[in-house]
Amino acid sequence: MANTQAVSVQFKQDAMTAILPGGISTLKAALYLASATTNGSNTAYTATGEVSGTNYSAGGVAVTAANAPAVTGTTVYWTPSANIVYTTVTLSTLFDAVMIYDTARTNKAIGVWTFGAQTVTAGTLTLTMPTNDSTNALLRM
Amino acid sequence: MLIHTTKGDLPESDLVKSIIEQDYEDAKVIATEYRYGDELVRRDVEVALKPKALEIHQQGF
Repeated sequence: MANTQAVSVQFKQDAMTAILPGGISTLKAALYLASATTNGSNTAYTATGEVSGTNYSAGGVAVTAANAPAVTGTTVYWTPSANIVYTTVTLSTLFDAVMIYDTARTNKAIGVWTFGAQTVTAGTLTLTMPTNDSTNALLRM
Repeated sequence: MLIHTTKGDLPESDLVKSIIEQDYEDAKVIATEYRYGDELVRRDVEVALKPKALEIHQQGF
């Protein structure tokens, strides 16, 4: 046997749980134009580069997050517990990113996820969440 | 069945429906388009986000 350098799984779980405790109801998801530069350097929600259009409210929609971070092996993971849905919107300018952020912590950002540039016309945009496990979850540490 | 469109609710039988599947590095996307003649009157998008791991880098001494 030999010693192994590693970040403690307990530290990772404590860190993620501090930000994303189970049952949190203050997360929101905002969409960003493909021409924007939203990324991991954005510390909080910004209206700069956010989409606009019919039935889309600035700041985006609420995120359902009933579950707390979980642990399998040394991986801590978390995924919103429901898909993120923008209903009957028209978003005519190409967009390709979503930011999840916490309104209870001065809109601090959780993360930004990108996808292929899209438009929506009088329709529904559904962001389908991956399986919440150690290899597929939206957030894994 | 009526479909909500930019022209109001139209019978599905009056519309041409097409499904477009795209596989990007960070997501799989399925777009469902409805056309009335040559005009796009509805477009729904379903984005399946692919897993994205956060990384914590630990520096040795």
